[in-house]
Amino acid sequence: MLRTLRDLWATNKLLLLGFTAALAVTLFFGIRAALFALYWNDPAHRNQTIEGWMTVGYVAKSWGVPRGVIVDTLTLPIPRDGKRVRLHDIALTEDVTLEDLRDRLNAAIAAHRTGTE
Amino acid sequence: MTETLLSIVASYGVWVVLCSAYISCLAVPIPTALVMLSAGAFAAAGDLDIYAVFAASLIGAILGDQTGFALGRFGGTRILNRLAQSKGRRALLDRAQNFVQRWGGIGVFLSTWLFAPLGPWVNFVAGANRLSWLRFSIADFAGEVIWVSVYIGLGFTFADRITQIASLLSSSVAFLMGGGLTILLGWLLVRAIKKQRIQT
Repeated sequence: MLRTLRDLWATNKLLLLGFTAALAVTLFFGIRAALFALYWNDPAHRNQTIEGWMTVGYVAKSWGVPRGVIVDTLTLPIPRDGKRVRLHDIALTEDVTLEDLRDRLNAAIAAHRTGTE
Repeated sequence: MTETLLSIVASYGVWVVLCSAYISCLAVPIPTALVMLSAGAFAAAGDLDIYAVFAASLIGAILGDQTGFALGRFGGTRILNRLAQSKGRRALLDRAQNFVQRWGGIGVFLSTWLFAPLGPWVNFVAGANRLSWLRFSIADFAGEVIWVSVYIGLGFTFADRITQIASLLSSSVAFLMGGGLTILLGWLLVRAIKKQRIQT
């Protein structure tokens, strides 16, 4: 084993170095990815704060509530063609802050959850 | 940055996906993987049509690769011919061409998904070294189907926690690419060891 390594070092230095480096990089990112995955697997870290980029449908999907709950809370005149309305746009047209929308939605989602339990 | 990107995909839908896939296949550094991931998530939320997202990604990617190949075929060949006027270089370029003829198919295939950052360059080199168009297209199509399906599928499956998946993405991609490279170099090492054994 050691002799093979020494011979390789003599004949294929670059290849051996490249292989070791590639292996190290792979391990590093593998562990990093695994740690990330572990962290997000904890339900406490999973709830996605409602953000401006989210669409009505996405909030419903992300929080596991029917789309209607979100639509009713926001009392939207939902446009027929563009079904993708971002909360950011809603805040602008209704002239409210994103925090305000967030509070209303969180309350509605909580109410819906206690209602269905 | 992830949130800006999500916001853009939410507003413009499949057109962003199509353009982003096309442009990134021409070596412009756009996070198309992230775009496809978010489009998959919006599809799961009912905001985008999953088939449209899939078609847009695939069409964009394939058109981009074909453009790169054509650039190599018509522009690259001319450059190579000029370079080949000296004899020493001619030999080197011939070796490069033989290499492409032998490994071109699998190279194109792997460069579309596993070693995605190399994709645009591999397309160009394949075109310049006259890899047959049919071989290129088949390998390219097969690879792009994998690339597109994986990211859209991930976005669709983990739609409820897309920002988390996005943060996991770069590490996983680096892990897979590193793994691919390790296997490739390991294989070359094994070959070198075998050769040594025969010699001694």
